[in-house]
Amino acid sequence: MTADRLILAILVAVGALALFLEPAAGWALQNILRPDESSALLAQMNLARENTALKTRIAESEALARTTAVLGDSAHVPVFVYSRYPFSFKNELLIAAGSENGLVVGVPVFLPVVSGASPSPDTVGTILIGKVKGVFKRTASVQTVFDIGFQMTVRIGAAGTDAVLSGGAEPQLTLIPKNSVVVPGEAVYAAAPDLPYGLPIGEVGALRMSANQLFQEAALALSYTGNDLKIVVVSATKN
Amino acid sequence: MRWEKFLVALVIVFFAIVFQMRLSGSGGVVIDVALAALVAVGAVLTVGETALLIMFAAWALNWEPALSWELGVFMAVAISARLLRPLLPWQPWFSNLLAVGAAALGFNFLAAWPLPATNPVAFLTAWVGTLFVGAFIFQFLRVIFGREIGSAKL
Repeated sequence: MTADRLILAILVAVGALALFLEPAAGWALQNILRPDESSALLAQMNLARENTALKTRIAESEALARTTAVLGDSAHVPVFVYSRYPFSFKNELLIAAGSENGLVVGVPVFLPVVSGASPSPDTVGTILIGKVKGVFKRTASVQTVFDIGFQMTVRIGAAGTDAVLSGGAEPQLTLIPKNSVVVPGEAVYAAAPDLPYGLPIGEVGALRMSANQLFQEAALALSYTGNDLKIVVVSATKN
Repeated sequence: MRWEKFLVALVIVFFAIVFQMRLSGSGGVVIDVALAALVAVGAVLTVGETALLIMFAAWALNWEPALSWELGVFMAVAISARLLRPLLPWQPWFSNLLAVGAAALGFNFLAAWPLPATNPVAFLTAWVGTLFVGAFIFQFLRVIFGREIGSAKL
Protein backbone atom coordinates (compact mmCIF):
# COMPACT_ATOMS: atom_id res chain seq x y z
CA MET A 1 0.00 0.00 0.00
CA THR A 2 1.45 3.33 -1.06
CA ALA A 3 1.96 6.10 1.45
CA ASP A 4 -0.88 8.11 -0.11
CA ARG A 5 -3.36 5.30 0.24
CA LEU A 6 -2.24 4.64 3.81
CA ILE A 7 -2.76 8.27 4.71
CA LEU A 8 -6.18 8.21 3.07
CA ALA A 9 -7.16 5.05 4.93
CA ILE A 10 -6.10 6.62 8.24
CA LEU A 11 -8.05 9.79 7.49
CA VAL A 12 -11.16 7.79 6.56
CA ALA A 13 -10.88 5.86 9.83
CA VAL A 14 -10.51 9.09 11.82
CA GLY A 15 -13.49 10.57 9.98
CA ALA A 16 -15.62 7.55 10.80
CA LEU A 17 -14.62 7.75 14.47
CA ALA A 18 -15.46 11.47 14.58
CA LEU A 19 -18.82 10.88 12.93
CA PHE A 20 -19.90 8.16 15.36
CA LEU A 21 -18.13 9.11 18.58
CA GLU A 22 -17.79 12.90 18.52
CA PRO A 23 -20.93 14.47 17.04
CA ALA A 24 -20.70 17.28 19.61
CA ALA A 25 -17.58 18.64 17.88
CA GLY A 26 -19.62 18.87 14.67
CA TRP A 27 -22.32 20.83 16.52
CA ALA A 28 -19.65 23.26 17.80
CA LEU A 29 -18.52 23.77 14.21
CA GLN A 30 -22.13 24.40 13.15
CA ASN A 31 -22.56 27.08 15.83
CA ILE A 32 -19.39 28.81 14.70
CA LEU A 33 -20.54 28.84 11.08
CA ARG A 34 -24.11 29.99 11.67
CA PRO A 35 -24.83 33.69 11.15
CA ASP A 36 -25.14 36.10 14.08
CA GLU A 37 -27.70 38.85 13.98
CA SER A 38 -26.56 42.44 14.28
CA SER A 39 -27.13 44.18 17.62
CA ALA A 40 -29.51 46.73 16.04
CA LEU A 41 -31.62 43.98 14.48
CA LEU A 42 -31.51 42.04 17.75
CA ALA A 43 -32.84 45.05 19.67
CA GLN A 44 -35.59 45.52 17.14
CA MET A 45 -36.63 41.88 17.24
CA ASN A 46 -36.52 41.82 21.06
CA LEU A 47 -38.97 44.70 21.05
CA ALA A 48 -41.25 42.82 18.64
CA ARG A 49 -41.14 39.70 20.81
CA GLU A 50 -41.89 41.71 23.94
CA ASN A 51 -44.81 43.23 22.07
CA THR A 52 -46.17 39.79 21.16
CA ALA A 53 -45.90 38.52 24.75
CA LEU A 54 -47.61 41.63 26.14
CA LYS A 55 -50.42 41.52 23.57
CA THR A 56 -51.19 37.97 24.61
CA ARG A 57 -51.33 38.95 28.27
CA ILE A 58 -53.79 41.71 27.44
CA ALA A 59 -55.92 39.30 25.39
CA GLU A 60 -55.93 36.80 28.23
CA SER A 61 -56.92 39.30 30.91
CA GLU A 62 -59.81 40.60 28.76
CA ALA A 63 -61.14 37.22 27.69
CA LEU A 64 -60.52 34.78 30.50
CA ALA A 65 -62.27 34.36 33.82
CA ARG A 66 -59.51 32.27 35.26
CA THR A 67 -55.81 33.01 35.52
CA THR A 68 -53.63 31.37 32.95
CA ALA A 69 -50.16 31.15 34.34
CA VAL A 70 -47.91 30.79 31.33
CA LEU A 71 -45.03 29.32 33.20
CA GLY A 72 -46.99 27.06 35.53
CA ASP A 73 -45.51 25.43 38.60
CA SER A 74 -42.87 23.34 36.87
CA ALA A 75 -39.24 24.39 36.75
CA HIS A 76 -38.16 26.23 33.63
CA VAL A 77 -34.65 25.77 32.38
CA PRO A 78 -32.78 27.87 29.83
CA VAL A 79 -30.83 25.60 27.48
CA PHE A 80 -28.54 26.04 24.52
CA VAL A 81 -29.47 24.94 21.03
CA TYR A 82 -26.75 22.53 19.91
CA SER A 83 -27.69 22.11 16.29
CA ARG A 84 -30.55 22.17 13.84
CA TYR A 85 -31.79 19.86 11.11
CA PRO A 86 -29.77 20.73 8.01
CA PHE A 87 -32.07 19.54 5.24
CA SER A 88 -35.40 20.78 3.90
CA PHE A 89 -37.68 17.99 5.14
CA LYS A 90 -38.11 19.08 8.73
CA ASN A 91 -37.37 21.98 11.04
CA GLU A 92 -36.00 20.59 14.29
CA LEU A 93 -33.49 21.67 16.89
CA LEU A 94 -31.27 19.68 19.20
CA ILE A 95 -31.21 21.23 22.67
CA ALA A 96 -28.91 20.68 25.62
CA ALA A 97 -31.43 19.03 27.94
CA GLY A 98 -32.67 15.48 28.00
CA SER A 99 -34.12 12.76 30.19
CA GLU A 100 -31.51 13.50 32.85
CA ASN A 101 -33.20 16.93 33.23
CA GLY A 102 -36.68 15.45 33.48
CA LEU A 103 -37.61 16.25 29.89
CA VAL A 104 -40.34 14.18 28.25
CA VAL A 105 -41.94 14.16 24.80
CA GLY A 106 -44.55 16.88 24.31
CA VAL A 107 -43.04 19.46 26.64
CA PRO A 108 -43.39 23.01 25.23
CA VAL A 109 -40.26 24.93 24.29
CA PHE A 110 -40.05 28.71 24.43
CA LEU A 111 -38.00 31.63 23.24
CA PRO A 112 -37.26 33.90 26.22
CA VAL A 113 -38.44 37.49 25.83
CA VAL A 114 -36.02 39.95 27.38
CA SER A 115 -37.10 43.47 28.23
CA GLY A 116 -34.71 46.00 26.76
CA ALA A 117 -36.22 48.80 28.83
CA SER A 118 -34.41 48.21 32.11
CA PRO A 119 -30.65 48.68 32.59
CA SER A 120 -30.30 45.02 33.56
CA PRO A 121 -32.41 43.04 31.06
CA ASP A 122 -35.02 40.80 32.65
CA THR A 123 -37.05 37.97 31.21
CA VAL A 124 -40.59 39.34 30.92
CA GLY A 125 -42.14 36.34 29.26
CA THR A 126 -41.74 33.60 26.73
CA ILE A 127 -42.96 32.78 23.24
CA LEU A 128 -43.83 29.21 22.27
CA ILE A 129 -41.61 28.02 19.43
CA GLY A 130 -42.30 24.27 19.42
CA LYS A 131 -42.55 21.02 21.33
CA VAL A 132 -40.10 18.31 22.36
CA LYS A 133 -40.34 15.50 19.83
CA GLY A 134 -37.66 13.06 20.95
CA VAL A 135 -35.64 12.71 24.13
CA PHE A 136 -32.10 11.35 24.57
CA LYS A 137 -30.13 11.10 27.77
CA ARG A 138 -28.61 14.60 27.70
CA THR A 139 -30.26 16.11 24.62
CA ALA A 140 -33.68 16.38 23.03
CA SER A 141 -35.04 17.15 19.58
CA VAL A 142 -37.58 19.97 19.28
CA GLN A 143 -40.13 20.28 16.48
CA THR A 144 -40.54 24.00 15.76
CA VAL A 145 -43.46 25.93 14.26
CA PHE A 146 -41.41 26.10 11.03
CA ASP A 147 -41.73 22.32 10.62
CA ILE A 148 -44.21 21.34 7.92
CA GLY A 149 -45.65 18.64 10.20
CA PHE A 150 -46.32 21.00 13.13
CA GLN A 151 -50.01 21.48 13.96
CA MET A 152 -51.69 22.99 17.00
CA THR A 153 -55.06 24.41 17.97
CA VAL A 154 -54.77 28.09 18.84
CA ARG A 155 -56.96 31.04 19.67
CA ILE A 156 -56.86 34.60 18.41
CA GLY A 157 -57.23 37.85 20.33
CA ALA A 158 -59.55 38.83 23.16
CA ALA A 159 -62.50 37.12 21.44
CA GLY A 160 -60.68 33.79 21.58
CA THR A 161 -61.43 32.92 17.93
CA ASP A 162 -60.52 29.32 17.20
CA ALA A 163 -57.93 28.47 14.55
CA VAL A 164 -55.40 25.81 13.64
CA LEU A 165 -51.71 26.66 13.38
CA SER A 166 -50.12 24.77 10.49
CA GLY A 167 -46.34 24.77 10.48
CA GLY A 168 -44.05 25.45 7.56
CA ALA A 169 -41.50 27.93 6.26
CA GLU A 170 -44.30 30.49 6.63
CA PRO A 171 -46.64 29.18 9.35
CA GLN A 172 -50.32 29.67 8.63
CA LEU A 173 -53.50 30.04 10.67
CA THR A 174 -56.22 27.96 9.06
CA LEU A 175 -59.84 26.96 9.71
CA ILE A 176 -60.72 30.39 11.12
CA PRO A 177 -64.54 30.59 11.16
CA LYS A 178 -65.74 32.57 8.17
CA ASN A 179 -67.88 34.99 10.16
CA SER A 180 -65.36 35.71 12.91
CA VAL A 181 -63.90 39.18 13.04
CA VAL A 182 -60.13 38.82 13.04
CA VAL A 183 -57.80 41.76 12.65
CA PRO A 184 -54.14 41.64 11.58
CA GLY A 185 -51.92 42.25 14.58
CA GLU A 186 -54.09 40.38 17.08
CA ALA A 187 -52.32 38.00 19.46
CA VAL A 188 -52.24 34.28 18.70
CA TYR A 189 -51.86 31.92 21.65
CA ALA A 190 -51.91 28.18 22.32
CA ALA A 191 -55.17 26.36 23.08
CA ALA A 192 -53.99 22.76 22.79
CA PRO A 193 -55.11 20.12 25.31
CA ASP A 194 -51.55 18.92 25.98
CA LEU A 195 -50.12 22.39 26.67
CA PRO A 196 -50.76 25.13 29.21
CA TYR A 197 -53.45 27.47 27.92
CA GLY A 198 -52.52 30.89 26.61
CA LEU A 199 -48.87 30.47 25.63
CA PRO A 200 -47.95 33.37 23.31
CA ILE A 201 -47.04 32.29 19.78
CA GLY A 202 -47.24 35.27 17.44
CA GLU A 203 -49.62 37.67 15.78
CA VAL A 204 -52.11 37.53 12.94
CA GLY A 205 -50.65 38.53 9.59
CA ALA A 206 -52.37 39.10 6.26
CA LEU A 207 -55.90 37.64 6.07
CA ARG A 208 -57.50 35.86 3.14
CA MET A 209 -60.28 33.39 2.36
CA SER A 210 -59.54 29.69 2.00
CA ALA A 211 -59.59 28.09 -1.45
CA ASN A 212 -63.03 26.59 -0.81
CA GLN A 213 -64.33 29.92 0.58
CA LEU A 214 -65.57 28.20 3.75
CA PHE A 215 -63.00 29.54 6.19
CA GLN A 216 -60.65 32.44 6.71
CA GLU A 217 -56.91 31.93 6.72
CA ALA A 218 -54.02 34.12 7.74
CA ALA A 219 -50.27 34.14 7.87
CA LEU A 220 -48.74 33.90 11.32
CA ALA A 221 -46.48 36.88 11.94
CA LEU A 222 -43.51 35.92 14.07
CA SER A 223 -40.97 38.17 15.73
CA TYR A 224 -38.11 35.73 15.21
CA THR A 225 -36.61 33.45 12.56
CA GLY A 226 -35.11 30.00 12.75
CA ASN A 227 -31.62 31.46 13.01
CA ASP A 228 -32.57 33.39 16.19
CA LEU A 229 -33.08 30.18 18.17
CA LYS A 230 -29.80 29.93 20.05
CA ILE A 231 -31.04 29.76 23.66
CA VAL A 232 -34.48 28.41 24.52
CA VAL A 233 -36.43 27.69 27.70
CA VAL A 234 -38.02 24.34 28.53
CA SER A 235 -40.17 23.00 31.31
CA ALA A 236 -38.31 20.35 33.23
CA THR A 237 -41.51 18.36 33.71
CA LYS A 238 -44.60 18.15 31.53
CA ASN A 239 -47.67 20.12 32.85
CA MET B 1 -3.64 11.39 -2.84
CA ARG B 2 -3.67 14.20 -5.34
CA TRP B 3 -3.43 16.88 -2.72
CA GLU B 4 -4.23 19.88 -4.90
CA LYS B 5 -7.49 18.40 -6.17
CA PHE B 6 -8.41 17.15 -2.71
CA LEU B 7 -7.79 20.53 -1.09
CA VAL B 8 -9.83 22.38 -3.71
CA ALA B 9 -12.65 19.85 -3.27
CA LEU B 10 -12.43 20.19 0.51
CA VAL B 11 -12.79 23.97 0.30
CA ILE B 12 -15.77 23.62 -2.05
CA VAL B 13 -17.50 21.12 0.23
CA PHE B 14 -16.77 23.27 3.28
CA PHE B 15 -18.42 26.32 1.75
CA ALA B 16 -21.30 24.16 0.54
CA ILE B 17 -21.87 22.98 4.12
CA VAL B 18 -21.82 26.56 5.40
CA PHE B 19 -24.33 27.57 2.75
CA GLN B 20 -26.55 24.57 3.54
CA MET B 21 -26.61 25.47 7.25
CA ARG B 22 -27.57 29.06 6.55
CA LEU B 23 -30.30 28.00 4.15
CA SER B 24 -31.76 25.51 6.63
CA GLY B 25 -32.05 28.14 9.34
CA SER B 26 -33.75 30.71 7.17
CA GLY B 27 -36.72 28.53 6.28
CA GLY B 28 -38.24 28.19 2.83
CA VAL B 29 -36.88 26.07 0.00
CA VAL B 30 -33.60 24.40 0.96
CA ILE B 31 -31.39 23.35 -1.92
CA ASP B 32 -29.26 20.26 -1.29
CA VAL B 33 -26.05 22.25 -1.71
CA ALA B 34 -23.84 19.87 0.25
CA LEU B 35 -25.05 16.84 -1.72
CA ALA B 36 -24.57 18.64 -5.05
CA ALA B 37 -21.03 19.60 -4.05
CA LEU B 38 -20.12 16.07 -2.95
CA VAL B 39 -21.39 14.57 -6.22
CA ALA B 40 -19.71 17.21 -8.38
CA VAL B 41 -16.27 16.96 -6.73
CA GLY B 42 -16.42 13.22 -7.34
CA ALA B 43 -15.40 14.12 -10.88
CA VAL B 44 -11.86 14.93 -9.72
CA LEU B 45 -11.44 12.60 -6.76
CA THR B 46 -11.03 8.88 -6.21
CA VAL B 47 -13.68 6.89 -4.36
CA GLY B 48 -11.61 6.94 -1.18
CA GLU B 49 -11.11 10.69 -1.30
CA THR B 50 -14.81 11.22 -2.00
CA ALA B 51 -15.72 8.95 0.91
CA LEU B 52 -13.53 11.04 3.20
CA LEU B 53 -15.26 14.24 2.17
CA ILE B 54 -18.67 12.59 2.55
CA MET B 55 -17.81 11.63 6.11
CA PHE B 56 -16.58 15.14 6.85
CA ALA B 57 -19.84 16.57 5.48
CA ALA B 58 -21.94 14.11 7.48
CA TRP B 59 -20.04 14.95 10.66
CA ALA B 60 -20.49 18.70 10.11
CA LEU B 61 -24.19 18.38 9.23
CA ASN B 62 -25.11 15.84 11.91
CA TRP B 63 -27.66 17.30 14.32
CA GLU B 64 -28.33 14.34 16.64
CA PRO B 65 -26.23 12.20 19.00
CA ALA B 66 -26.86 9.15 16.82
CA LEU B 67 -26.56 8.67 13.06
CA SER B 68 -30.04 9.22 11.62
CA TRP B 69 -31.78 7.61 8.67
CA GLU B 70 -31.57 10.84 6.67
CA LEU B 71 -27.83 11.17 7.16
CA GLY B 72 -27.29 7.51 6.32
CA VAL B 73 -29.22 7.97 3.08
CA PHE B 74 -27.26 11.17 2.38
CA MET B 75 -23.95 9.32 2.66
CA ALA B 76 -25.15 6.28 0.71
CA VAL B 77 -26.52 8.37 -2.15
CA ALA B 78 -23.38 10.49 -2.39
CA ILE B 79 -21.01 7.53 -2.50
CA SER B 80 -23.28 5.67 -4.93
CA ALA B 81 -23.14 8.63 -7.30
CA ARG B 82 -19.34 8.48 -7.21
CA LEU B 83 -19.26 4.71 -7.74
CA LEU B 84 -21.63 4.87 -10.70
CA ARG B 85 -20.08 7.93 -12.36
CA PRO B 86 -17.49 5.98 -14.45
CA LEU B 87 -20.31 3.86 -15.90
CA LEU B 88 -22.09 6.84 -17.44
CA PRO B 89 -21.19 6.95 -21.15
CA TRP B 90 -22.10 10.54 -21.94
CA GLN B 91 -20.22 13.81 -22.02
CA PRO B 92 -18.76 14.56 -18.56
CA TRP B 93 -20.90 17.67 -18.02
CA PHE B 94 -24.09 15.73 -18.81
CA SER B 95 -23.02 12.75 -16.72
CA ASN B 96 -22.41 15.15 -13.83
CA LEU B 97 -25.85 16.70 -14.27
CA LEU B 98 -27.40 13.27 -14.34
CA ALA B 99 -25.49 12.15 -11.25
CA VAL B 100 -26.47 15.26 -9.27
CA GLY B 101 -30.11 15.01 -10.35
CA ALA B 102 -30.37 11.32 -9.58
CA ALA B 103 -28.64 11.75 -6.21
CA ALA B 104 -30.97 14.59 -5.21
CA LEU B 105 -34.04 12.63 -6.33
CA GLY B 106 -32.89 9.51 -4.49
CA PHE B 107 -32.11 11.45 -1.33
CA ASN B 108 -35.45 13.27 -1.24
CA PHE B 109 -37.51 10.20 -2.09
CA LEU B 110 -35.76 7.85 0.30
CA ALA B 111 -35.28 10.23 3.23
CA ALA B 112 -38.28 12.51 3.00
CA TRP B 113 -41.16 10.64 1.40
CA PRO B 114 -44.06 11.67 1.24
CA LEU B 115 -42.94 15.31 1.38
CA PRO B 116 -41.98 15.51 -2.33
CA ALA B 117 -45.53 14.40 -3.18
CA THR B 118 -47.28 16.69 -0.71
CA ASN B 119 -45.32 19.77 -1.71
CA PRO B 120 -44.24 19.16 -5.31
CA VAL B 121 -43.60 22.80 -6.22
CA ALA B 122 -41.17 23.33 -3.35
CA PHE B 123 -39.50 19.99 -4.08
CA LEU B 124 -39.06 20.73 -7.79
CA THR B 125 -37.73 24.21 -7.06
CA ALA B 126 -35.17 22.76 -4.65
CA TRP B 127 -34.26 20.00 -7.13
CA VAL B 128 -33.64 22.46 -9.98
CA GLY B 129 -31.55 24.57 -7.62
CA THR B 130 -29.52 21.51 -6.70
CA LEU B 131 -28.90 20.77 -10.38
CA PHE B 132 -27.72 24.32 -10.91
CA VAL B 133 -25.32 24.16 -7.97
CA GLY B 134 -23.91 20.84 -9.16
CA ALA B 135 -23.41 22.16 -12.69
CA PHE B 136 -21.79 25.34 -11.40
CA ILE B 137 -19.31 23.46 -9.20
CA PHE B 138 -18.45 21.06 -12.04
CA GLN B 139 -17.79 23.95 -14.39
CA PHE B 140 -15.65 25.63 -11.74
CA LEU B 141 -13.57 22.47 -11.43
CA ARG B 142 -13.22 22.33 -15.21
CA VAL B 143 -11.83 25.85 -15.26
CA ILE B 144 -9.26 24.97 -12.60
CA PHE B 145 -8.24 21.48 -13.67
CA GLY B 146 -9.04 21.44 -17.37
CA ARG B 147 -11.72 19.93 -19.53
CA GLU B 148 -10.53 16.33 -19.07
CA ILE B 149 -12.15 16.04 -15.62
CA GLY B 150 -15.23 13.92 -15.22
CA SER B 151 -13.64 10.71 -16.38
CA ALA B 152 -12.53 9.80 -12.85
CA LYS B 153 -11.65 6.17 -12.38
CA LEU B 154 -12.44 4.02 -9.36
